Amino acid sequence: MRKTDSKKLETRDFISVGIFSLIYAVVAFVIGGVAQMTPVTFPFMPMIVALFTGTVFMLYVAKIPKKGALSILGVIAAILLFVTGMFWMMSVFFLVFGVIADFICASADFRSFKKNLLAYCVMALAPMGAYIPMLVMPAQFDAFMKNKGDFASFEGVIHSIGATWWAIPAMIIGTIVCAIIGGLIGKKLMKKHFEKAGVV
Amino acid sequence: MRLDPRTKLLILAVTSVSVFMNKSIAVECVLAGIPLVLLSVSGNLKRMLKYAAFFLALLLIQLFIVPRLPVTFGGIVYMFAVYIRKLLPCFMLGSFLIATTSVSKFLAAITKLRLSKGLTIALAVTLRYFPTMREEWASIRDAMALRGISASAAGLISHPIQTMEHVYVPLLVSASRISDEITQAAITRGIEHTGERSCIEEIAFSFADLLVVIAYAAVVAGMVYAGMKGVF
Amino acid sequence: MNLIIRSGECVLLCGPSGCGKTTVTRLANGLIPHFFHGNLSGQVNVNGMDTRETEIAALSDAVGTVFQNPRTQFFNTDTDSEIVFGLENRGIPREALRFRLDELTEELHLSELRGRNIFELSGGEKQKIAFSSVYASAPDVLVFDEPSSNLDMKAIGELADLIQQAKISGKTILIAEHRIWYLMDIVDRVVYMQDGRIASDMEASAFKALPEADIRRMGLRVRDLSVSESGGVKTIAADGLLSAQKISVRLGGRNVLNDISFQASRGEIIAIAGVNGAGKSTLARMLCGLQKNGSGTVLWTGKPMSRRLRRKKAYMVMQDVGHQLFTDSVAAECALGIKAPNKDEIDRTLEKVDLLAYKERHPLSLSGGQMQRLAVVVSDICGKELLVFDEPTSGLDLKSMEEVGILTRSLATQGKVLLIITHDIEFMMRICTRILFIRDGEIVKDLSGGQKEKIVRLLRGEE
Repeated sequence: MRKTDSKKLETRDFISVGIFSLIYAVVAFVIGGVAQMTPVTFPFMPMIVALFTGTVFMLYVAKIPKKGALSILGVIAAILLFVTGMFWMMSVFFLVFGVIADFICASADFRSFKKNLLAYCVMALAPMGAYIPMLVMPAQFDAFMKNKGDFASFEGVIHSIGATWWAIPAMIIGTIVCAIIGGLIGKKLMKKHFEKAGVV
Repeated sequence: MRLDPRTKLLILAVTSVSVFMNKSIAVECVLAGIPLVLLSVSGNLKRMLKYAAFFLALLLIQLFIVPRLPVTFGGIVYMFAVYIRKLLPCFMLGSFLIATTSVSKFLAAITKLRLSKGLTIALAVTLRYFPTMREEWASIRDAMALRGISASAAGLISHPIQTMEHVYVPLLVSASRISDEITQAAITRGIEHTGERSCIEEIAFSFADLLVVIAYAAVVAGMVYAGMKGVF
Repeated sequence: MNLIIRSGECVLLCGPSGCGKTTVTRLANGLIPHFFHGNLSGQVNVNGMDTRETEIAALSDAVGTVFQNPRTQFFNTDTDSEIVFGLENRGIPREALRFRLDELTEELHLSELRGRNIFELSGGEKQKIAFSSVYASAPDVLVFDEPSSNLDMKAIGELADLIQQAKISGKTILIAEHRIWYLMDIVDRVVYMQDGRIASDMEASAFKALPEADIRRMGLRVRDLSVSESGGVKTIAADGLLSAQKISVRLGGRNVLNDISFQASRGEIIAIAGVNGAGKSTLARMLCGLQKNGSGTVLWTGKPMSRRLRRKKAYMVMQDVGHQLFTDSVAAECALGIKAPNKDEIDRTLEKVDLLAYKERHPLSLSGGQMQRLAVVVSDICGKELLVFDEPTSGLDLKSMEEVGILTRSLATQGKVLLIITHDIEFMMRICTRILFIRDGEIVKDLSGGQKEKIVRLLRGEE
């Protein structure tokens, strides 16, 4: 019964965008918040989140297959994260990655699952923004210790185990792998439920 | 003291960028101090005390415990304590913003920022759907409990995909239906009118806004000065 | 079909579910063809505008619509913004908005609702805000799509007053509705629809003069609540299977339930009635073991049940029944959470409620009534003995209501205890064996047999 011939976002789409962006952000926020609570799971936050938001993302692109929708998802997530006091780089990442994801999906008219999955992999990297401070903090720690007259170097320790150079790529790869899994789960649930229930 | 939502957004932006660039603990204490004052002036005394205590504890950990720890472990504790402490001023301003700004005031501010109409509609729906999502979640959790399906963290860890499915299916299908119904109500009430929307909420800058902005300008200046002189 | 509604007329559209009344309302407000796209032939004119040729924005100036679900027809979180929402869309300047808001507050008696959070309002209050918001833009035509479905008696009374007021001020009004009793003194004309056609179109006086049997045959709900035929009076041996003792719940510093005690026996169908906020749902949640911070004991065959045990023994068929279906097929839904599902038993139970043919369908693609029956099947297979229904007949026509009645009766015959939260007087009178009337967290009346008639006055707040 519904018309989907218009390629421009209409009122109906903006309202869907508002609702599903909130669901996306809340899932990311709740799962991410729980993951960041312990030092052990702290570095795995983007990966854990990527597993869970895949379904919402896949439903999102299927329900609103129009250019601009994912950019607004990025903007809304950025605003919500910003006003709750999360580290601002995360908001910037959401803004930028939202636009990139939008371009990727639009290049195949939102119909190619591979492109959508690629777009999701990009989107899933947005929470990585939370770790930017970690790059400068070892140096700050050393400066702090030097101020105290202690010349032990944490940065040196990290360098000696070679952690700095591989930590970030490892997190990126891990997140992409989890995003692929999350996206596939999303695809499966789309077929199993949302298509049959007449949501899309 | 009533602040314009735009001022609140501005000081939040200034704070979030500053805290991580700032190296001086004295300046950081000011950055944390102003939100504490704002919280207590706006009547959120309990929350203010909680944040203050947390900030102080994390500061003491850095100053007195970290130097006594072996370097690797000390480094990790330092990273954790300082990272969270630096986010605290933003958390405080965020909770100040949320506690003291009605949704309609916030939307009025967003409208004044002249973002596109579509984005404003989407954001309005996001804020409106927040309480609805809580109601929906409560009802789905009840339904799961009566079927003996656990919605708790334990259930999530032991059957992640299944639990995800059981929550997502009703939640997302219902969201989709509600989205349609809100749309019908909105378009029969003229949301498709193309002209500029008006807004019953009035927002305007006041003397209090000026004071706060001056205070933050001073903090930024102090931070730059402290950075050059290497103030503790 | 052809239908002409004259300016200033108040028309009731009625007929069984699926007869096309809602479609007519959508044609009038332009949602067809501007939101729902299908094959539309013929022409619809509203206020001289062809709905197909006119932008929905222009149509929305002429036609205002109040929908069925109070939860999903507001856009803002506070009442003031919601009331002027339509005017804001039209870019009316702030001073004029304030003036109109004050004017409406006076005209529609809204002072108690001003400046409130919509999420804290009752369904009736939300519906009043929805009406005010539509009315604020002063459309010439008002369309109502089953506006009373989720309301209690008192709220329906207030809705009737609002519609009456709109009529006096000269609006043209079109109402699609199942519950017609509250409209009998308001409408001028009644259009009865059947299978997408107008089967009869008569003056209200002629409709009121129809014999009761005709109304039944047409599949319509009663026109006058006091003539609700009483049923469900057969006596049941009291065995006190379920016993609630001194149940109290405090939420947010308020006593929601205050020392409630009652007993229920196998085979009883007990209605729980009372205005919104009286504590009906909290009581139901307490009995199902879902409510935290409660005190008191719930006994089953004389033994106290823990919260955990209650969750095993009891089941709630929710108003939003879609929230409680989780799997991808009817068959899978029945087997969910069962260690060794018995296929034959599942088939037999599905057969009983005419769902066997839908075994492979996705539960959320079924109709509302089918989902409700599926939820009942699930409860049966899980071996639940205490069933609570939350508003099972809201928005149902006569036939569907009777079907729910048959379903509940058959469950009662199986020896289950049934509690039904409801505002539906007809259902209480015809199906329920007993009515517990709750006010301010206390059971103030326990009515059965001939006494049940008193419920009408109680719910109207006249006693």
